[in-house]
Amino acid sequence: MLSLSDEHKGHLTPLFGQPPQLLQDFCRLAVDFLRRGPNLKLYTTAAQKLQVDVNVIQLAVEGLVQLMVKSRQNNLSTSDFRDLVLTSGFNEEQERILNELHDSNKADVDLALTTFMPSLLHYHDLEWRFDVQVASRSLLKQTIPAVTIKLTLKEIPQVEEETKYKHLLLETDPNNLKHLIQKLDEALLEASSQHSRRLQRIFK
Amino acid sequence: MEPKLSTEIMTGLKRMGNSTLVSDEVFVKSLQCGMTTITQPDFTSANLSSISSGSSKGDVVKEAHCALLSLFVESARLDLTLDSLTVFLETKANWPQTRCKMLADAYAACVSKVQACLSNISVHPPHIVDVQWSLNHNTKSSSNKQTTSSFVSVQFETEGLPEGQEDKLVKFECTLAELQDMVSKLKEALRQVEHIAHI
Repeated sequence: MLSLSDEHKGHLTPLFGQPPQLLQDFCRLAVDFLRRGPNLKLYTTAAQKLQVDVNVIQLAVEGLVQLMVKSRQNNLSTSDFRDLVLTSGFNEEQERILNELHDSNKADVDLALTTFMPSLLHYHDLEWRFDVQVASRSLLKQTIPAVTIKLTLKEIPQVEEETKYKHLLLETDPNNLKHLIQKLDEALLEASSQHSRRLQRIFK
Repeated sequence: MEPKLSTEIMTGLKRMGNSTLVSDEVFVKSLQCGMTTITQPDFTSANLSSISSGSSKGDVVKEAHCALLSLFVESARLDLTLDSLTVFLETKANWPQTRCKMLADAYAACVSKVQACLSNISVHPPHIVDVQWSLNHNTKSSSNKQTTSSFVSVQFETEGLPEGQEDKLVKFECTLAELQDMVSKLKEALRQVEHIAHI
């Protein structure tokens, strides 16, 4: 069974035995951390209200985030998560609040985890334009068809960062365009082949 | 329309048409050397020195060679007909008919290659010439032990990047749905190209 380290438990200790409303406020801070990163201003306000050091608040919020992350990384079921929370020191009522936090923010946690995976730039959009070059300084009479492609790629953003886009201007001719389509169609065909589908089923 | 050549080039052409300065044998060799130089980008006119060394007027041969290349390029740029070229050489460079005929034949043989080279001299984005792909299924990662997702790695191979830019490959990843989206957009582009080609 998964258990939290002593250090992790230590960060969460200030939350044990606190009223449900206060824990819900901390859950909101944890969700905000997941989506936008740490917010020291909010932590300072909370620290003043509770008359504790701001560091205690920050570590408690990070402890909740870490709890959600560990739970998703290990794909804990509701009952496993319940056991983990109760054995860590939270009471029954707090466990219900944390379970709700865990269930309703799975997508956000998964997204945050994805950003740490090594990856190339990701496809975002493709726009095209068809031109025929009819003259240039070096050759007055010509008819050269060309498809200009604007390929937009995006960088998977880390938490706190905005998505960065990279626009690439490329060009190709009708023959190569036909070749590209043919080769990429092969990829799509292969994705729905028996072999690919069988492997996908195995890994799921 | 006739080629607009500088005074120096015109002087070289006039000398090339003069059999006293450039013998028939040197003329033929110069013509062959000129054609090779202009149709083979890596050719360095190595045999030009051997042509000029046999002649007492080496500088004239070199000048004529330069004029010949300029004439080929300018005529191809203007898409000059053989008749126009012949008339130009006869009237403006005082070439005899036999030499005009030989040059016109040489021009006819290499004009399409010269024009193909000239058409590439322009401002163009990198040209996609090939694509590589691989289909992947992500099963686990250091940050997420439970992840399962399919994705496609795509690599466009390009030509014609500005000098100094070595990276000819455009690499990216996409999901199958995104690949489908990209392919359908490219197919739409191809449909439009084929539609216009049939007009």
